Amino acid sequence: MFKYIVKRLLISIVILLGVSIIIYFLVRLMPADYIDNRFASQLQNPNSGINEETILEFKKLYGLDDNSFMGILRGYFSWLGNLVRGDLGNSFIYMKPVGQVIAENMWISFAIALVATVLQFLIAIPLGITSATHQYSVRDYVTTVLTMIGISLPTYFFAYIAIRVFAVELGWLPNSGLIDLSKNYADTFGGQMEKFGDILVHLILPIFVTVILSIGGLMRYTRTNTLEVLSADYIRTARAKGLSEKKVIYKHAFRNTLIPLATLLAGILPSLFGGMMITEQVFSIDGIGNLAYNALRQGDIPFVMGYNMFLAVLTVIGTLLSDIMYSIVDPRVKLQ
Amino acid sequence: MEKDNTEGALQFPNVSGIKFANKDQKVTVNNKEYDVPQYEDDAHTHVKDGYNEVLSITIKEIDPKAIWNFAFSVAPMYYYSDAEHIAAFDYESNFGVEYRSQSFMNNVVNSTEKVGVPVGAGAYAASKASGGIDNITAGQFYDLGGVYFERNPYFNPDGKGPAKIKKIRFSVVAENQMVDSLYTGSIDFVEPNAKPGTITELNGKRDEGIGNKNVQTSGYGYIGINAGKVPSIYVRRAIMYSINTQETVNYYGTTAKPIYRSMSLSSWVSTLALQNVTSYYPYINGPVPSNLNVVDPDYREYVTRLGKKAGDTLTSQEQEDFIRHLVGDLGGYTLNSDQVYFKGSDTCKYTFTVVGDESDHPAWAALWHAKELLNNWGFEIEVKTDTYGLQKLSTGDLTVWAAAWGSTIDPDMYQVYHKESTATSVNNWGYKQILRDTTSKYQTERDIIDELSELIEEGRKVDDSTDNGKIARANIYKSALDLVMELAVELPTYQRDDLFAYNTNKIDVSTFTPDSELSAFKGLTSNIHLISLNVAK
Amino acid sequence: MKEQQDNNLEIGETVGLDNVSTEATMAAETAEAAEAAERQGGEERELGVAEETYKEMSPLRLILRRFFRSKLSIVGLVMIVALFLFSFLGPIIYNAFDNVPWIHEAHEQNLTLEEAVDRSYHVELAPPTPQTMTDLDGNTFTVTEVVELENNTGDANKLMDPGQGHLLGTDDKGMDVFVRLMYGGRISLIIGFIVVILETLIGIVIGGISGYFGGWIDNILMRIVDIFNCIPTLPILLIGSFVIDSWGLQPDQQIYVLMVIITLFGWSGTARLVRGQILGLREQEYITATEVMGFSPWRRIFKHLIPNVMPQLIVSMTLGLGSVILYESTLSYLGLGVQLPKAAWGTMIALAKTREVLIYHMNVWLPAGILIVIAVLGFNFIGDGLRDAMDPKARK
Repeated sequence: MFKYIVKRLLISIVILLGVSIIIYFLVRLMPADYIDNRFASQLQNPNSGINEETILEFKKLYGLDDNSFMGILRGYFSWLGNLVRGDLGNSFIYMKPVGQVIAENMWISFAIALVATVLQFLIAIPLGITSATHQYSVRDYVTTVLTMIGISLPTYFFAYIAIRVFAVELGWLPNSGLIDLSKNYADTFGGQMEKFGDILVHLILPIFVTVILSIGGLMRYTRTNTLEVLSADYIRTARAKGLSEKKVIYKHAFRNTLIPLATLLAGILPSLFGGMMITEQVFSIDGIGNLAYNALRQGDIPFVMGYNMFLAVLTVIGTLLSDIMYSIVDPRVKLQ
Repeated sequence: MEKDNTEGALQFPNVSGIKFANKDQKVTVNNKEYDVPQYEDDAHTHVKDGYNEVLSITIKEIDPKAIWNFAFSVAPMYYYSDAEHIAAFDYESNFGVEYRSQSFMNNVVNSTEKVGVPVGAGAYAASKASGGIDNITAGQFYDLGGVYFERNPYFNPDGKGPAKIKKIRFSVVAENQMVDSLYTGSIDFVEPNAKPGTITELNGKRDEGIGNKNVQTSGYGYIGINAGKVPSIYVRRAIMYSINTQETVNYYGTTAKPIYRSMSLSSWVSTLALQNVTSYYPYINGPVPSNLNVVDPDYREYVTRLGKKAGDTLTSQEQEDFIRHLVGDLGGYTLNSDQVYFKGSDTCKYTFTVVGDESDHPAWAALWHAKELLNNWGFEIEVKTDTYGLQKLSTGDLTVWAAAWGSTIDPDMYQVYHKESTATSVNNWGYKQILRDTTSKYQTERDIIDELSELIEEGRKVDDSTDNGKIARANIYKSALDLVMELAVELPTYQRDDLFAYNTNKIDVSTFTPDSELSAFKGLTSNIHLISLNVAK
Repeated sequence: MKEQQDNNLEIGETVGLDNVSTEATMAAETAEAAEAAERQGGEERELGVAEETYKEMSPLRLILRRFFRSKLSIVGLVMIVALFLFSFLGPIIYNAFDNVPWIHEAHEQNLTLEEAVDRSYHVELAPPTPQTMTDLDGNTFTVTEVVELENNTGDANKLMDPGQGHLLGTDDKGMDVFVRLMYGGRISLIIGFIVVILETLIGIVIGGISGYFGGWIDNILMRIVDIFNCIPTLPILLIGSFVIDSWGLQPDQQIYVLMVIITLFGWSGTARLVRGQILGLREQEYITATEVMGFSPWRRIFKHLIPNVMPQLIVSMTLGLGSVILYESTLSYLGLGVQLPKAAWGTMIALAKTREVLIYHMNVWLPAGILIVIAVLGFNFIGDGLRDAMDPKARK
């Protein structure tokens, strides 16, 4: 096992290098770079003092002037060189070190994702189990239909509806943003706690939307696994031994349904940290997903590289964990 | 003036005509007397004897827009520079900045604290969530989607004292949540898109404490045609005839006005000279205008020949014939086997581009309708949206596009239309191709551009400080604008309003800029230090 | 950048553990035999004479029987069939309504109904005026003329409420919403099917080879899968749509290229699924048997292993259909999807970005969302039903 992990890690480094080259070339080949995007409207304005010469000078400043193959390659190696020294570069848009921008803005997305994932598991698994144990009953149908509707909705569609109903019509929850700007939060502990509470209230709706949209998948997966476990031979044996149905389910079936779910956990790693682009956009939350989308649209190369490599690392680790779990869970699988 | 191109040197070491003034005595400008300025020497600046900070600028000829050229931004040295350069400040050659130095500029640009926090010399200074204006970092200034400002106690330019409202904060909200945020009370002042539906809705909420006001924007929307890609002036005109500019105005309903010449309606030139001017290329599928003196001669001749009176419409066949007359007879195009006009290597197959992500754009309907008409008359048109449209515009890649101009106070047209203009926007019209061409392909255009440039230069020399001078200048521009229309590269479409919506329960509406002073250049909150909140009851 | 919901679906299906192995086939056959015997017993009783004939029910029929026993599956099937009929037959039927003014106008101008802009507002009918006329023979007759008055500024009738020939009103361009739903259905459903079929084919080939051969082939292929997983989709889509634009393709053809791009990002999930299954299956005895029998690797992979992965695959395909439709709608929301004037459900929902449409004209965007929900639900029910039907250990 240890040798396997080491081997995979080494290969991962090669993969990550490959991925980084591809991403860098992709971003450099985008139709308009950061300077073009930033100054497009000023370029049109004849009184702004920006003309083609100034644009060229800016591009040189940002290292964007040479778009030939060699030029891009040189740009890539300079990025790589900085990376090896631990420097991810400064984001063009935010003019701060990329690492700092990611660190500062990640925790909101992470909080939403974490709470949503925990809630998802807490709700979907029991639902899946009851659905399976009462297969084809009304309970089964109703739960299935409701949760499936959840995963059939486009994100922004449901988000808009949720905002309309809960924030605008009913007025129970705030409709966008992270904080109520009309309040003053003192620098004291109490003040900061109040601020924290306010943020939590603003996060309720985004978390709600995220959970509803993803319960369905997990619930059905649990249900299938439970069904399978329930018809296994050892369950038949347990029943034949005369154990109560409750004991059968909670003592024997439950544990075995959970094991394959463990493989899921590993795959969730990137999604916890990647942010949810559309949800954040709709709620005007400055999460990492929203920032990454804006960075891409505006051609902020250091940020795009930093963020995507970060996600790539998480994906690779997640896959590795998933494969390891898989082999633990299913002894027929042999790792090589 | 000699340019010095050596590294680190000032490009223009001295500019004759600009010197220090007012060292010893008072100065009278426009009948107003200005005292000799007094300065206190504090730790920040070093005032050298005999120098002060009043400049006297002498210009050689009459130039009505000169006064607008000498507005410049003040960048405080103590804020942007570093100790070394500040210490070296003398009034002659060191100003706290290292010119033409990439490293100096990098230092400023990459310093988060310099760039991420405003200087705070205005009515409001940077603040943080817990209040106060001292030692604010960028992370506190913009925090969790909110921007924090607090009153600057030293701001007192007109004797009316520091700002009345103590704390002002800005919040980032998605566009379709703007008005809702106003209703839920999380925002107090917002500027939504001035659509008629929004205004009706806002009007309905007056009793609940939501007020609104719309003020004309200074710029205007237009549809441009690149003469480099559409070389025949008659084809361009045919396209313009097919565009119903009223449809762009209809997008905004009553809050937009049609505009017929390339001059903003809020400019004094429009008020003085363009009062009776209507469309130069009347919409071919619409009624004949009443004033035929301001239209294209070809159109005038055609409708008079047909015996049409004001208000009559042309039948489908008559419209098609007119287009054929323009493109075929006058332009020399013929129909090919696909029933599309062509001449030499140029086929009438064009793309109309709406700049932006979404097709929710005022010009979309007009361009789409034009496409439907033209596709029946020997053209092959496609209408698209383009996210990178604005960037493509600068490289002259778009054929027909819809965009909008901002507008300046002075009506000078040099940058946008003069043949020697070096502005990038000139590429949009295809000036490069026109002016470089040596054949007769663009002869008509060159003649028009020559005449236009002469008028523009003339307009720059008129002294408009008197009323007669203003009228004279306005009339010059009137002729120039007609020439721009003749050139058929820009079709002005609409001029819309800006909409402001606000919480009247919270804000004391009487402290906004009064209606009499509202203009395209002065909005409701232009004097933000004068605005105050209602006293809580 | 993967949306959370997408991720969950993918991962859930990647590591599925239901196995259909030889046990399954054997169990099915036993069940069949039992049923056949029962039936035969009944026949015997009727006929009184015994003639031992065994009717074999193929596995397919068995699965179909179990499938139709579940109500949800039937509901799902009905939903999908209804959507198909709506999308593909609908426009044909609609075209026949030539008496509706805007449809007539569209036919005159040779436009398809989905891109026809309604400009026939204020179509009023003047009161019919009877006129007496005389013909050449001196006979008089009356003619009643019905005159239509049109508003000829020609501005499009945007955001109309349902009525006047528009079952669901018009959208912000003046195009009929109902017709665009139908045409949009065609595109959304076709994109779904083609993408999923392509993904599955590629996934089967790569996953099959990878799982079967193992070793360094497996390693390389799986690492390629990893690379694909790590590449963010959005930059590629942005560049892709820019490049497609510069080729000057028609909106129709742009959609197909879009499909290819979506496929490029979906096959990795299927490949991992197939590989995972095969890793487990290939240690089974019957596979060793085929080895002993000397079948070629290709035959072994595609004739013996893959068919046993099929049930899992079919389920994942039906679920994938749903998520492709959702993915297309997300792309349209971002402005990268199907371009105007072609309609797709995703672009129609995206109109809700404007507040006016969002609140006052729900007829423009809500139906598209509902149809997407129906489509995804339908496919999911079918997938569920198939999985239950193919499970040999089903309780009924």
